[in-house]
Amino acid sequence: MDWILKIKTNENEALKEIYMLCKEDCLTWLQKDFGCTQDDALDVFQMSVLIMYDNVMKGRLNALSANIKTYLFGIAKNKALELLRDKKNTTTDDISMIVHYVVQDNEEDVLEHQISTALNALDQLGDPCKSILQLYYYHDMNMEEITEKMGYKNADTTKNQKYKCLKRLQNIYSDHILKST
Amino acid sequence: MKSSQEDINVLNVYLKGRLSSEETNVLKERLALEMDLYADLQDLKVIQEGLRVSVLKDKMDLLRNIETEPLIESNMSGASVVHSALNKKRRYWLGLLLLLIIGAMMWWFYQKQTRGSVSQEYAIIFAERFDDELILHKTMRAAVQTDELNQAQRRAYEMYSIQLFDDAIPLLDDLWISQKDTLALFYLGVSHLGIGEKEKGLLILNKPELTKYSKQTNLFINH
Repeated sequence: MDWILKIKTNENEALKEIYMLCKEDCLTWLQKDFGCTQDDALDVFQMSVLIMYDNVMKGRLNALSANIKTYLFGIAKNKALELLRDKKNTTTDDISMIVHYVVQDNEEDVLEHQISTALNALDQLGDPCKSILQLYYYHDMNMEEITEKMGYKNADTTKNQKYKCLKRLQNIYSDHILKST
Repeated sequence: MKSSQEDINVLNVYLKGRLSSEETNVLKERLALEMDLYADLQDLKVIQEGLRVSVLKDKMDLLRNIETEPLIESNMSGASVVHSALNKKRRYWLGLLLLLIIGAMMWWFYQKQTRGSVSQEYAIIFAERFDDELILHKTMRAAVQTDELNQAQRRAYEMYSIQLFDDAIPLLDDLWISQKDTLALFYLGVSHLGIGEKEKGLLILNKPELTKYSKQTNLFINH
């Protein structure tokens, strides 16, 4: 099974399948070898699946040298150690966990409160702008692919729409920043 | 966002790491001089990370839902919906069948219990007078040759003698129908009383064919 390809083409289905395939073994291993509680083991495992997905989407993982379970266990091991080290400061909030364990691993110059403000601005922006920007910036789709996905007339329409959405988002974001200072 | 659409595109390509080294150098020089362009780049970085976290949050919700929703619902395809419905239907019918079987067994057991018991009013007759007064073929056999009884009679009478009335009734019935054996008819009436079928038993014992056994039939009729 080419999991990388499946994640890229049918991401939700692939994530569910990988989750069900690896969950039991990974949770047992995390509890036995790292002394994680059931809840902590589940958090680490879910975070590991998320990191694997992020690595595929960001182009950091293009091929698996071992099987998918080995790859996930490798991530889970590091995350379990981090979790145990930061135990006292760990929060159960999903956004904070994602920012702490996934995003800030790689992007040191973007702060958590800035991301939180951007998320609020994105919620306010809503669809279809949010989806267009996610497809362009995160899924790295080109204008033709977004046009097809969103059902627009042509790539120029999509390009203009994307620019307007970005400007709107930036305005909302700036307003949030101003209000918070 | 104060930069032009073209400049924003350049910043996007830069953030995606797709500018050539020459283009990158040119952009870096501009960023050092143009504050608005630099501010837009910083905003774009945050927006880009915000978009990333928003997608990851959606995926985290998807994973969390696998835990909270039953698997059958989260992954249910059309075929499995049908399969599940069939299973539900099958379970319903199996449950109903089981109930019917249990009901039938209880009814059968109840019938067996009530059929097998002698009604209270004749209990003393069956307990104290049956062997002496209601087994007539022994007396007859004592007076005549034993080989006068055929095999069917012997079998039916034996069942009657040891008060296995349920087994005796069909045999005695056969004897009466096929051989017009009046003793078998008498035994048949007593057997019905023996299993609690009073009405049926008395009806038989009142038959004119049994007048020669009136002494015995009156034990029940006049009781």
